[in-house]
Amino acid sequence: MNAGKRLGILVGGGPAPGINTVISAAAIEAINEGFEVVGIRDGFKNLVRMDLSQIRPLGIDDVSRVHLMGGSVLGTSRENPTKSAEALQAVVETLQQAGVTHLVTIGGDDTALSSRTVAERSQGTIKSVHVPKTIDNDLPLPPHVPTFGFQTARHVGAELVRNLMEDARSTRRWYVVVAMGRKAGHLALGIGKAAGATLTVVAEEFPEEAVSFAHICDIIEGAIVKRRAMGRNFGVAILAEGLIDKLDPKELAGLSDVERDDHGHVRFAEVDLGRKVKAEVEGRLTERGLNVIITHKNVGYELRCADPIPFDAEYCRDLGQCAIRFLVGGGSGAMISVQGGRMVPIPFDDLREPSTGKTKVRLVDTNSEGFRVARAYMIRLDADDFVHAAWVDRLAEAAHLSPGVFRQRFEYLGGGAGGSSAS
Amino acid sequence: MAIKRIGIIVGGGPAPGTNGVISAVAIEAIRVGMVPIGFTDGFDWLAQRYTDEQHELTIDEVSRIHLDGGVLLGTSRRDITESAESFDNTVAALSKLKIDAVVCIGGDDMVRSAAAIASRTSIRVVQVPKSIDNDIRMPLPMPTLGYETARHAGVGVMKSLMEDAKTTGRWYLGVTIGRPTGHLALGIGKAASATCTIIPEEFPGEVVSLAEIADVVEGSIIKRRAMGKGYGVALLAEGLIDRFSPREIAELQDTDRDAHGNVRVTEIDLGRKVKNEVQTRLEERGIKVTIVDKPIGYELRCAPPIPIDVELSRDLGYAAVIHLHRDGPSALLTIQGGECRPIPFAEVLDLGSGKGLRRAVDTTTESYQVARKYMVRLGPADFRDEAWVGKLAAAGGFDAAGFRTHFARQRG
Repeated sequence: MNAGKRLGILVGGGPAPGINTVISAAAIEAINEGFEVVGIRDGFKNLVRMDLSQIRPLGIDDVSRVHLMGGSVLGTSRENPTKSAEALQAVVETLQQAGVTHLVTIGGDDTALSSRTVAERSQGTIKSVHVPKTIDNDLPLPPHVPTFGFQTARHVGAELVRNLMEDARSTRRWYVVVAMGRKAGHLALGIGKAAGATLTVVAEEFPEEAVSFAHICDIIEGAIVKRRAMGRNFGVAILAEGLIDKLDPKELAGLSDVERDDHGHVRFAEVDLGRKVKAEVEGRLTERGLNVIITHKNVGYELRCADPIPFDAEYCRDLGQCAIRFLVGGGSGAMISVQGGRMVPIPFDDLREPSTGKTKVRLVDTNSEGFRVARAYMIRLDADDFVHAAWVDRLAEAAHLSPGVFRQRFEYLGGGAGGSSAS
Repeated sequence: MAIKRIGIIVGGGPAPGTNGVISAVAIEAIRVGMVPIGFTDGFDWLAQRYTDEQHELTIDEVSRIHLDGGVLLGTSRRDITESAESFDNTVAALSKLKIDAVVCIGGDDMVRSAAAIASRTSIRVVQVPKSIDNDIRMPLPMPTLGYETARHAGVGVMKSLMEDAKTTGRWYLGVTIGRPTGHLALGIGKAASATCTIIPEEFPGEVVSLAEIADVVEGSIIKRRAMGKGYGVALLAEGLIDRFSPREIAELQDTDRDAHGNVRVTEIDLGRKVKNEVQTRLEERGIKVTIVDKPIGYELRCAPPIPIDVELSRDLGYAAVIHLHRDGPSALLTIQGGECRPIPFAEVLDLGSGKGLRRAVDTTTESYQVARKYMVRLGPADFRDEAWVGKLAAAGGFDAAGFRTHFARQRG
């Protein structure tokens, strides 16, 4: 019934667990629907270069056993075909030359925009559907619907953090773990809540425009002090990478590492937030005669190509299948989601802020029950900690400060976002 | 003389399987009529003459912990031979608690403390060789307790990075802990089939430079490019840092300044330094390769033990108690071919420095040769065929002569 129709599948952006499951499910369903299926290697990269050699037929044998594997059998790239009219034209022409009538794109918000733009430019000759993928969980879906790949990344991340928690306890030290997730704190909070980390700090907690580096360090130092007062000289703090975005730009410059290589070139590396926090907090504590070992650790890259857990394996089958159902039904120009077991196509326009044209980012909702629960089990200095003088004395003693100075330094932490929710 | 009270002390970094030893020692000790005492945080409290940080272990407390990562009793790096006071305090505290024998679970650093108690007191000491570094001086092929699990978990991380590198067309530069030897790096790299693994033992000279390491990584990247593969994962043993010259160390150290203006020197970030060096070299010749550095290590030390280590931990714990029960002398305990083989402390200590002896990766073995065979690195064979040299040179942005000069070290 779809004879003569050719479906292309491509992947853009960073990897996420479940990509192969979507490829597999989409290819099988399309073949069963009478499509010829081709895999397009490395996202839009070869299409922009008008290279037809990287478009190859995909048979059921090619994809039937890949659904439980991490990575992407079609590769991926960050090539953006909307960067110029020529690039866009090259992509459309190459796809047309390859006889592609339908396109399934798997990727983040950039790939979604490309998917839509290609379909528009083809003037109806190519219909496209996008399957959104990101371990950051930051697409504007309903609150209970994760982006695919997030649950696996969180699962693997929670296992790593579990090991670090055991390590911290065994060696009496603190770990400061910086988790990926761009602006959103979903991955950090998801890992921290599931693993039961001592505390997790996400950018969403700070409603103000910018957060100071000192404030972040105060939270960590406060948690270390509180745990000491509770007789525990170890813990694991998780920081969301998004905090870096919220740092004051002036402060950010001071925190960047300047690298000088053999040739005398200077290059600015990304801010190593974990190392900076470690140095600052260890320094503050040492100054007061408190020897606390803090070790920093980044978590992220090792999660993106993990084999999907059953949740994502199942979810991605649904997504791949629904993408084809949507195209077969004559649809085009939408992002596929599955909500409560049902397919819900989301028009691309709904993904963007009408005013700025930028993709909406789903942030952690700090007013949700889910966040409140996470917050309630964290050990951080809260408003409650400053109510009883005896407890303040004990905290101050653990901090090697006088009660007065302790209040001066830390009492403001109790008034911040979510501060009282831990009561 | 029958042993009545047996102490258990864990030292050094955590390693998978430690809880299995604690469990086996306690259960077997109770079975033969001894009272097992678990000491908290290694020698830390004993060295301060505290006698409260210990408790009698019961079967109920330890019977289900053998599959758990971490250290039930906690651990520390306290070395009681650091001062006469620490040593005397420890002996006094142990005597006060009427401890007649001690099972020390630890690595090459702990040997010093264990051997000191054994040689200078009447307390008998058995050490169980525990380290994810696999570097305690004992016969191959016996691994140190915890190494196999750490390697296993490390391979899991590597598998994801290798898939990620392939999917995104980039290079990862992993750096594994395990100073100063290359066992863990090589074990992970060989099992995961990393594109190349660089360990200190492969360099014959005393000093290794950042440039030499960068040569190997850069060479691998270029060779892979010539083979049509724009991605890969290189693994570095962190121990390479220990071979840098003092001048290079000073140049490579990062300094952070805290709020009080104090300069804090952090360890050399080997991965970042090599990444910057290689990326800059390639960029200068117009070649863009994304390289991402990734330290691997802390997340491995407290992984739940895999069956190899669970079994080894039980064997070692059991053997330690039986050895003492049969009046065996103080020793480092190993299991070889299923049999308990004690090694006298004198054989695992450097008499000059008093430090525990290590075993380095033996690069003359078949096993190392196999690991090397499957790596993609530039070697003398790559410089024989002109056509291939031309292809490599092009992949590296050189002319043939420039390529030969640049990689003079790899030509052998």
